[in-house]
Amino acid sequence: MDGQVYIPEGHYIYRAEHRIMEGDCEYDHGPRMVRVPALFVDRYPVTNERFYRFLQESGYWPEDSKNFLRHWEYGRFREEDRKKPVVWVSHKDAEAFAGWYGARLLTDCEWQYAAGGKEKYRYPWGDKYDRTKCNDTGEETLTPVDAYPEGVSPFGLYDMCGNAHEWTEEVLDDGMHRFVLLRGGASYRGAHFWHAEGGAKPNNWHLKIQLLNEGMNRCATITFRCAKEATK
Amino acid sequence: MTHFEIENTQLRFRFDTASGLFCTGIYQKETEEEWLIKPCVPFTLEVCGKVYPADVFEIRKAEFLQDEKDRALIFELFLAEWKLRARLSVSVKEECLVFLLQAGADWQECPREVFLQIPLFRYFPENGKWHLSANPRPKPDGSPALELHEEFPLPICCIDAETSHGVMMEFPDYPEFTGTWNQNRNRQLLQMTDREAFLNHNLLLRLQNKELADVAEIHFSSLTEGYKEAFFRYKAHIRRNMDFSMYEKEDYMWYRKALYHHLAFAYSREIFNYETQKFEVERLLDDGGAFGGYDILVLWFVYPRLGVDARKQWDFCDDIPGGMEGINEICDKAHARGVRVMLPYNPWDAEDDEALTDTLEHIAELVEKTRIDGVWFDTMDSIPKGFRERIERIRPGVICCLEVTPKVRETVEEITGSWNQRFRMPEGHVLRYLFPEHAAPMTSRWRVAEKKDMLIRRAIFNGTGFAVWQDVFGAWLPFDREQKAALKKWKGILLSHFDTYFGKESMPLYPVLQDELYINAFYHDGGEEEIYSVCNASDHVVEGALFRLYPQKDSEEDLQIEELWTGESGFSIQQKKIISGTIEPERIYILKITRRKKV
Repeated sequence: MDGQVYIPEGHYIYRAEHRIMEGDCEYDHGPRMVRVPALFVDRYPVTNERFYRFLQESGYWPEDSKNFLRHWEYGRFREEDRKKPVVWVSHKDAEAFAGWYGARLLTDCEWQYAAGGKEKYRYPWGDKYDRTKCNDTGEETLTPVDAYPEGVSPFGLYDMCGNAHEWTEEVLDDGMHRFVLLRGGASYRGAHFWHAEGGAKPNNWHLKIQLLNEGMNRCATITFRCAKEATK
Repeated sequence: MTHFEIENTQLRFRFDTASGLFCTGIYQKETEEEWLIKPCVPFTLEVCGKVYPADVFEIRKAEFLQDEKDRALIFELFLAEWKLRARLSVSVKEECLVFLLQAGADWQECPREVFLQIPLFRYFPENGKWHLSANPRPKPDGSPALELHEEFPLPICCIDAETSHGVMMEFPDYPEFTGTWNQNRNRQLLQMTDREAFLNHNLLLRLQNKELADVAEIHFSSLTEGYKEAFFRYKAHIRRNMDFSMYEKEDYMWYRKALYHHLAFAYSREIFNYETQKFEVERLLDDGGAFGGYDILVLWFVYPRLGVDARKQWDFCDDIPGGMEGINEICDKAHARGVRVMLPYNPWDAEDDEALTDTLEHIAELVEKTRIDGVWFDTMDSIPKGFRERIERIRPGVICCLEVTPKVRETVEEITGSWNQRFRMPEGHVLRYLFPEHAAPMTSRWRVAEKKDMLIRRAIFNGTGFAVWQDVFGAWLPFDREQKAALKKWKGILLSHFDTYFGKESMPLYPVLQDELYINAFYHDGGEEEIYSVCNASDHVVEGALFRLYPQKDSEEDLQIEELWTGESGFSIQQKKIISGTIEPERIYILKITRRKKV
């Protein structure tokens, strides 16, 4: 589940949608022109297998390990999770992973471009929602990152809709709060109107997640993928 | 005999049957005043567009009944054209005369629509001012100047503004239904907000029954001290049927004086330090000093974070900084400063198949494992049966606080606090005055700038505590320096006059002598201190006589007046009973009257 996809430099008019229940999301949601540099982007979200390899290679262990890889058993992923996106990793854990490999996470704007392509599709595969092209069962159960080949994006990226949210790069700070924007939605959907919005989401949608301690920042539904700027 | 009378110590009803049934008088004995300016029929029924006043009904029986306890005057009536039966009775109770109208019909084929009018009200003196149940005092735009509660409908009164003499009518309203399926139409009269609509009411009855069913019941009593007397009498009637033992428990007494709450949004620098990854409770409480100090912290780490994954609120208790022990550290640090801590319970964050008993065990476990002082019930206006008892068994004194004003009387009895999240002025909420022991701090999360000023005025005007809420789930809406200072000053006044503000007797819409004014009154149980919060809702200055004192000063009393909020000294007591002064527009004044026996 390795491999990267080349995405050429481009510009597009960025406009993001989200549901604000209460509180707010201090971010310019567009429309505004954004530039996306040429990138090599992970074809898949980082899997448990890749993350295990990272731990082996780097010796990484977070200072605050509350909930770190909570779904693993005896320091290792369960075999059936090998190809599933790694979860229970915080934004810091994701950054550590990316940094080890000289990469970084996709920014919010880059992620949208990577998912929708120059066509600016609403979903990775096109403009019409199609439940058969993503993991969108409403449950927390994850699927392997290559489980939906028909859900691939115009640039050839897998698993960008549903399954697990993806961390984006920016840690935003509005003076009183720190938060990160999640992308792609997740299979899991909370039952109530008051729950944070789940389910598979369009390419132009993000979810604000307010950061707290690492135990809270690690979730069963958040993964990540990495990118490198092609010019570097 | 065609003349009939029945009376108690206050009122005398007179009827005449010489040419059909007429009510010829409602006489107020103490004041020797007649409240019915001319004889009228006590009711009319309308069937198929034709009106049948009571005087066209055949009087089949007119009799006076008496047993060892009760007396009643009864008229049995019949309308042959529709085989309609009616019974009008007036019974004597200690505090009132009960006017009860019952009706039944033996329909030929199927029931018809029947409408009821009670014309008596239209023949009350023209100078009588009406205080409707759903609109005891209209604002200039006609809407009520008081926030009301369906479970506790106020009486309807007609009061002479000059003399304060009047008639009070209570309408028993047992069923909760408001539609036409309710045979007793009292509720419909209680819901009317417009004087003309009330006087010209036309109530559709559900009259399919042959036997007599209650269709209207009015408890008449007399007033000599105006709406103040009416409100306190009504309040006594409401309260005597309720149990307030929860409020008297020693373990819960701390809650009554915990006047200022604070909602601490965990994902905010207001309490959280991102660098150290710790909650800074002492700093938060230090900051709270500018508000006069927080008495309760509601530590909020749930919404809008719940739902990103399947973790529930109970899981978050383990995952926030320090987990359960972290919560206990917060409790310990707060307790060391005399501050209590509540955690929220979010009823909507439950498993699809979660039973209430499971939820209760979650809450119980939380109380058991932590040193929290209360549970804040998000979105709830009541608590499932057994919750409070279960919590109390674990640790007496752990309080339950509702986010929403209680909806039913059983909740008022059982749950000793809630948040008042309304923000209009001059409206207060009637529950504040009926149940002053129910802790209900004022808050309104989204108000900013002058609306925050108004919210503070609302707390002062209604004599309540305050819930400081500056971080609304990630939107930072702070109070400014002047607002903090005002809240600090207000808390000082509220605490130093606690027994007056939260005495047994307080009332909204105290009678005023100038239309622009609204006054709420608070009385010390010992009788030596009274506080009147005065609001001028107009855009111009009001001068001169403001309101009257009841009871008036007696010759053995020494009366003192002091303004507590602005410090202005231009207020005086004239003619032993009239308070005079100057009231600036959109300002609040707190007038304290001290009564002392002359030595």
